Amino acid sequence: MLLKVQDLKVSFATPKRMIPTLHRVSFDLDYGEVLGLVGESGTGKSITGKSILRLLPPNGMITGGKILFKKRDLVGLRESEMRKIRGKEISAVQQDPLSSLNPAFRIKDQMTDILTLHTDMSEKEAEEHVIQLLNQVGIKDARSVINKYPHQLSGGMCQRVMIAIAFSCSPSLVIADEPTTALDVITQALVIELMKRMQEENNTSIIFITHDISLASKICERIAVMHKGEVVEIGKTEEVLFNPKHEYTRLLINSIPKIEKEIRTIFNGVET
Amino acid sequence: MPVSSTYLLRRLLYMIISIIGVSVFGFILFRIVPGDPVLMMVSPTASLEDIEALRHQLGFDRPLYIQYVNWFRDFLSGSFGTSIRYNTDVLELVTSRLPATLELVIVSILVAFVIGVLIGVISAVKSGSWADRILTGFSFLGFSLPHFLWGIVFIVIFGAIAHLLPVSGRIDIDFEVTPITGFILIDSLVSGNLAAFKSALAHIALPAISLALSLIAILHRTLKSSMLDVLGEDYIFTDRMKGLPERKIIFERALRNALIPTITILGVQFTFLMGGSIIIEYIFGWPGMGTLLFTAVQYKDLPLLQGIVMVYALIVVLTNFLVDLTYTIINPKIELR
Ligand SMILES: Nc1ncnc2c1ncn2[C@@H]1O[C@H](COP(=O)(O)OP(=O)(O)O)[C@@H](O)[C@H]1O
Ligand SMILES: [Mg+2]
Repeated sequence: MLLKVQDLKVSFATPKRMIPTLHRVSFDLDYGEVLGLVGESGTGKSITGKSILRLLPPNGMITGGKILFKKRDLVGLRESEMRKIRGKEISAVQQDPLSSLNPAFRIKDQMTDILTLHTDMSEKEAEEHVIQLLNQVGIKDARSVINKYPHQLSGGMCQRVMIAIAFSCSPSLVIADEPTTALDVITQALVIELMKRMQEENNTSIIFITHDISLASKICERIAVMHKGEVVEIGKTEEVLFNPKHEYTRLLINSIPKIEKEIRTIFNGVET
Repeated sequence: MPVSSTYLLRRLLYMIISIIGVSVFGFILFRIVPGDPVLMMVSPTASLEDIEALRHQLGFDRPLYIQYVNWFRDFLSGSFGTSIRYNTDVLELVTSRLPATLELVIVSILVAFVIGVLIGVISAVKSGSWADRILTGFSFLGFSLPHFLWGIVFIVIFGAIAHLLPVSGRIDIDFEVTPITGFILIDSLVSGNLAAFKSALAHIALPAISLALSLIAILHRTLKSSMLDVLGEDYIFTDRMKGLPERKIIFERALRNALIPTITILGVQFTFLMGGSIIIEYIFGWPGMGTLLFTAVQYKDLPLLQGIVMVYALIVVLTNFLVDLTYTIINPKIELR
């Protein structure tokens, strides 16, 4: 077991009072597994992901539960210890690729920093490694791309760069928070494919956060359905889709038009 | 570069019109205020004929528009006329005083920038803490008094009461610094005269800080709010997700983005501080253009007055142009390197 989230509780401080946002979120994740975290927006998926990285917004606070990562409880871990885990053991890909890269720094600077921090590579070695990484995520003219600024690249390119950053230190866990929502349909498919490939090559575990259950079914082995700050159902993707136990899961599936048809094509596609 | 030649042409035209406007306005204004420049020059016992002869010689008896046309013709040929009070070439006089003024203003801006940015960052990072509240209070105080009042407060506290810092002049009279750049801090350093440098530094401290306070307050506020915005951006989350140390994130990754709004402020504030320096120089006996201006007013030295005003106007117009240019270059897409 790589990760075990147990009865996680998160609250936000507002000027008036503490607002409980996550109540008893529990799930676990095996080495090399891809787990979907699915639910409508505002149910606490991103907050769950940020809790695991211990990077909640300043007014957010973990008020209970455990986050056992490699048998170590991340809740209450010192910030200096967390910093050794972030980027090296756990990393993340965010929703908007353009805004998740710093507009005032070259791609090179934003890719070598994590390598020189967590490995004993020199600046030069890191730069060579970055070029390899970019080739790996399908960017061919990597040598010119590293000298560019984010606004000179397309959204799809930026997301490839982000994926390269997230996988660069071969972490055990990548938290992908709606990584394709801001992209057009074709780029979306390419990015999903890329993430799947990177995951398989590195045997990485992924928490794939999305509001789109049909998208989750394309890449996830298991799906956890979240509703109002709780995990209401968790199970194998087929089971959750074809035999949903919870009322809310059924609602979620029914709200997607022609879902049955789409799922059939997916599973047919896998079998052939 | 997103700057077209029509834009440059338009700006050039605008600059010329501003300069001419200021020259006409100044010319008329200085001649309608009471006081006779000729009477200031002659001895109390001079006869009426002598006075009128001098007036004729200086051209003050001619119609105003003729006087202006003559002045403007000289101005175009690069001549600002002769000072009545000092009997020296006005341009020479002004340029000999200009470095002192520029040194004061530039040091003020540097001081304000370093302090303002630092406390802005502290306020943003420790937003809501007691440190933030104290700094915000100081900023408010710094902003609520005009430059010259701060000057007087500092003279009383540091000069009269504590005798900690000199309150007049640029340097102790014992020191001899050969002018190279005209900036006494640089010249004393270049010539290796450390004692002179120390003295000059002590002399510039109070006037520079008096002048810097309002800018510190402005930078503090601007940087706090832009820093808070930047720290909430996704790319800062990315840096934290990587495990980068907070110090690097704040002072390298976030600061460069947060500084962009302050660049334009510095340009506008430069001209504002040029104006503020006039009275600060007067208060601290700083031998720059400001004190020269006071002398010119006092003696109704019209050519000198006009010359000083023209130099101030040229500096302001040129700075505005440069600021706009930097802004147009930076604005569409942020590219600082
Ligand atoms: N900084 C914050 N302050 C207060 N409440 C917040 C903050 N961030 C998120 N929340 C609350 O947490 C809930 C869950 O947010 P989030 O995890 O982003 O939802 P999603 O499932 O769409 O990713 C939201 O409904 C919101 O009310
Ligand atoms: Mg979200």
